[in-house]
Order: sequence, then structure tokens, then C-alpha cells
Amino acid sequence: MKEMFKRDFNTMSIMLIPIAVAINFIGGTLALSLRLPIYLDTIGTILIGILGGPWIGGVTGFLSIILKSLQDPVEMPFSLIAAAIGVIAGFLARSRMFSNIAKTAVSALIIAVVAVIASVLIRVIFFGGFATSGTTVLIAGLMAAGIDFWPAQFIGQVVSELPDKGISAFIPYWIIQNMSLRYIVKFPNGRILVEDFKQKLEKKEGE
Amino acid sequence: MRIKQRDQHKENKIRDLNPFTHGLITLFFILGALFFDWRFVLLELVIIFLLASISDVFESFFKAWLKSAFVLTLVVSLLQMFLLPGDEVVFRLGFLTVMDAALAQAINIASQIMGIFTPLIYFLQVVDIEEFITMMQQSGVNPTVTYIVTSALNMIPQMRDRLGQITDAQKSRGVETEGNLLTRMKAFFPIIGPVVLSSIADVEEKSITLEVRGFSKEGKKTILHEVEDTDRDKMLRKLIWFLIIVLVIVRVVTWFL
Repeated sequence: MKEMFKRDFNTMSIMLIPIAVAINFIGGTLALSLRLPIYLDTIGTILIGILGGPWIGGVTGFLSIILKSLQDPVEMPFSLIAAAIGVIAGFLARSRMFSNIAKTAVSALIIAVVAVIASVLIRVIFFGGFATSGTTVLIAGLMAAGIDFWPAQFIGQVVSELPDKGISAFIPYWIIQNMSLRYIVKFPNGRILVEDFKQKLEKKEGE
Repeated sequence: MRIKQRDQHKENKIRDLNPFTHGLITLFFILGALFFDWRFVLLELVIIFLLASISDVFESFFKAWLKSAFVLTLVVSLLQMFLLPGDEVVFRLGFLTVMDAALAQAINIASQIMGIFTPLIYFLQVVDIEEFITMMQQSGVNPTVTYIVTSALNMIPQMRDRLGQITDAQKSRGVETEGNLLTRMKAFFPIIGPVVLSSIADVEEKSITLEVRGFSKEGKKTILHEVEDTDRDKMLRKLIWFLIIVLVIVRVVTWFL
């Protein structure tokens, strides 16, 4: 386990963490400036999870939210969610769950489900279920309409997290498809990803 | 968000304290808010407001506090009050009812959120992040860790600039950023793609640069701006640790009574 830890943290991966953190920030910024109804602030985390493995992904997710909370400390508890997403993305990539569109869709679903469960838990434990985001308005509305607390929480989170995490898992896939193999191979998960690529190419040539 | 370059500290007794001392004070308040109820938190708020004015950050602290902890506490406690169930009605406001259990929970959550996030907000106002990171390195935290954090903080504004450049470039090539939702969503990809790819391409170059400068070599690294850790700081920290232990003991004892 310790060797895997050490191997994952080579200089390339370490360098990638700040960049992935920055990608998370600008993903969020861009989504905001284009006035999209989704956050798109975990693209970097998932991307680096796929390239660099679970530990790098987890660190990136955690750090991104911690830095975000320098502006608004209230975000701090959500760092655990982002870390979890990074870790899961890393393990999914290792199990070759990002090698084609269909598998990526499944991975996106898994990540979204984890995000929903984690969001509900963190929100309830730290904030009693409500915060100041649009999701809160939705949950409050549902509850005022008569739906119970827990179902309202889950429904609200599904509506906000599913599209966001779903799309956020596809963007890294698309980005990696457009990266040169020579470059991908330098990352800890690189070999696995390149092998998948080669398999695909061989299949295509065989047709 | 750039790292603030603090000019020389004015001779401010509180502000000049070592970042770790500030951190420990924050920890004390957070633990207190978790262990005890609204009475502790009320006292805590008074003390923090006092500290903020002594250390000359009151204005920015208050603004930040209003926008974040205050608004959140207000919204959360109101929602909890009106939406959660209970046994007896405490009061009615038109068509809204407040139950006893809901009110109790609302007060509880309000005091927790206030008690935990107010000291954090104060901490962030009074401490220079760069100094805090330097202090981490001085006390033995792996330089790789401090590098990652500092580098991330630096890279965010850099990448934001690049985002602006690439947005302009793509706009001039016909990418539409205004219009209906679908148009705007389609604009996301031609912008995020180049930003991410070019940044990642830089990673290899930066990585080589670091290696050439001995980044992964063993041995102590020298620091340009060292952070002072006076005897007064060390004594204060011991005192606060003592207070924290007292806090824990009181909590444990009252739990058994």
C-alpha cells in the first residue's frame, strides 16, 4: 500500500495537483460566466483521478474545496465529498472504467450516486439539511409541499448533482481522448489508459 | 484569489501573533462550539468581535461574516424552525407554524454553525495564508505539501487569465457565448478544452524545472521569508492547549452527570 502511495506521487503527478485544482476553479468560473445551471467544478478532480490515481485525485478534491473555503469557510465540510470523488475516479480508471463511452457513462453514474449520498450526509450532519444554495430552495419547496425530510433531501440532491457530475465525468474522458499517448504514459495510470487506447486502435484496424 | 502581500505588520499585538497561535485559538473556539450550547457561542462571538477590532480587521471580518456565517445561520435556522416537525406548537405566524422540537433544533444548529464558522472567518482575516504555509514548512511539514498548496494558490489566477484569453480567441472564431441554454452549453467545450490541454502540457515543463532545482532531493530547504515564533507565542499556545483540555474535561464530566 505504501509503495503504491509513493509511486503515485511522482513529480509529474505532484505538479498536476495545483493545475487540477485550478481547472476545478476555472470550470466553476466558466460555468458561472456562461450562466449554466451546473457547477462543473469537479472536472479537474476527476481528470487527475483518472490520470494520476485515487490518492492524487483525493488530495486534489480535498485541496480544491479547502482553497475555495478560504473565501467562504462554510464550504469546508464539502471537501470530503470532493476527495471521495477523486478517489473513486482513480479506482474506476484503474479498473478500466473509462475506456469507452459506455463505460464512462457507468462511471459517471457511480460518481453521481456517490456525490448525492455524500452531499446529503454532509449537508445534514453539518448544516441540518439546509444551506444557501438553489438546492436548498428546492428541498424547502418539496418539504413545504408535504414531502418528508429525507426524501426531499435526496430528491433535491439528485436534481442538482446528477447532471453536474454526469457531465463532469464525461469532460475528462473527452479531454484524455484528445491527449497524445506519449504524454499520457507519463502519469501513474498512464499505462492502463494507453493499453486501452491501443486495443481500440487494433480493433479499428481489424475492421 | 492571489496571495496577499502583507506589508509590515503595524505594531499590533494580536495580529503579530504566530499563525499557529491563531490557529490554536480558532481550534479552541470550534471545539467549544461543538461541545457546548448557545451560551458558549454567544460569549465566543463577543470575544471574537473584540479580537477582530483589537487586531484591526474588524471591517473586512464583519463584511465577510455577514455574507457567509450570518446569512447561512439565518436561513438554516428559519428553514428548520418552520419546516421540521415536533410535538407542540410554540407559535404561529400566519400559515407558518413552529414546533418545539423544531425550535430547539434550529437554535442548536444555529449555535453550531455560528460557533464553528465565525472563528474560521476571523482566522482567515487575521492570518496571512502565505505565512501560515511557511510556518507549516518551518515546523517540519513536507515541503512537497507546502509546495502543492502554494502552487495551487498561484495557479488559479494564472489559469483565470488564460481562460479569459482563450474565451476571447474562441469568440473571435465564432463561438457564441450569449443566447439560449443550449448555445451557452455548447460554448463550454471549445473554451475548456484548450485551457486544460495547454495547462497540462505545461506540467511536464514545470516538472523538469523543479527537478533541475533539486525539488525531490533529501535535505532541509531554506526559506526566504521566515516567520517569527516568539516565546510569548509558545507560552500562549501552551496556555490554549491547557484550556482545550479543560474544555474536554468539562464536557466529559457534564456528560456523565
